[in-house]
Amino acid sequence: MSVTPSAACGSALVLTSPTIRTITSLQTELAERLDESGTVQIDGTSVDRVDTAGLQLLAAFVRDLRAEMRGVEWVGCSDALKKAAQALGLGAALGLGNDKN
Amino acid sequence: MEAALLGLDVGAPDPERVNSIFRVAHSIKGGAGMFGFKDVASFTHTLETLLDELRSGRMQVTRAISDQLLVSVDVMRAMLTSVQRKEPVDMQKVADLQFDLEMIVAQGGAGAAAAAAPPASTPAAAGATPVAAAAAPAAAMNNGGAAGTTGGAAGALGAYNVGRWHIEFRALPELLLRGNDPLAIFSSLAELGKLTVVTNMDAVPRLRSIDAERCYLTWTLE
Repeated sequence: MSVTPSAACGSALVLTSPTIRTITSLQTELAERLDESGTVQIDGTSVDRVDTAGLQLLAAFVRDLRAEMRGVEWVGCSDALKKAAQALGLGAALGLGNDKN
Repeated sequence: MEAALLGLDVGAPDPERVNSIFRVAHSIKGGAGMFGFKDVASFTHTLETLLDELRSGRMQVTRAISDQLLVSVDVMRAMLTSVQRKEPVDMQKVADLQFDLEMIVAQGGAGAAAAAAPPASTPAAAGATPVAAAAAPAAAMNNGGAAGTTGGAAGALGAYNVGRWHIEFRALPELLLRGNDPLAIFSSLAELGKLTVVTNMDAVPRLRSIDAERCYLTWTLE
């Protein structure tokens, strides 16, 4: 299993395994995206493993983007990512639907 | 656990012995839930519920119950071995025994003798589930190293009877580094019944300032 949290793919940030094991490199990549302008595209299609650390960081990223009047566009999202976000009550914060369980 | 059960005096058990058996089951449940072994966590949760009835004195330790507890140890051992060896376990046997244990709790011990007979699988035991579910949140929080509280007095007897809990979940900062994950805890709780999770991000610093291995999120669970 890949432990790379994300990979470059055109303009989209491709997430693969946003967990505490890869959290430092993910934080660096997200910070770089904050320095850019406009909407950030995220592809979560390949996410098969995610944890609270990864989701907390992504939620902070999305919140910071919105504070700058920017947004996130999910170009894909795996079931694992969506279910985990909703289970942790972060579905709405991440723009991945409501959090009703 | 097995040794403690074998030394359990039917009718007049040593309270500390019952407590120690309960704590072992509680630890196994917590560990299983944390690592995603759902079947083990579910079974030990039912076992823990029965043990909680015994240690509280709401039910008496009978020979039939003692026998069922010993069988439960065998089943738990088989389940843990199957996890360790990545081999299948006889889930029908597990389900049958879990049903029997639920029946014992639902019938206040009167079902123990019947449960010792071959199982008759009907959905009647579902009535015991809300009580079992009510006992779970605090246990999960204790294992998770989190500082959580139930809804004050409402979390005591009233909530126990109706199976409804209000939990404020605040993780210790080092929770994630210890290998604990609220996501796993909440997922396990959600299997016990309807769970609504409301997350508070107020304490989460800006992305560049975050110590990403620290848990800043807090939750309200109902």
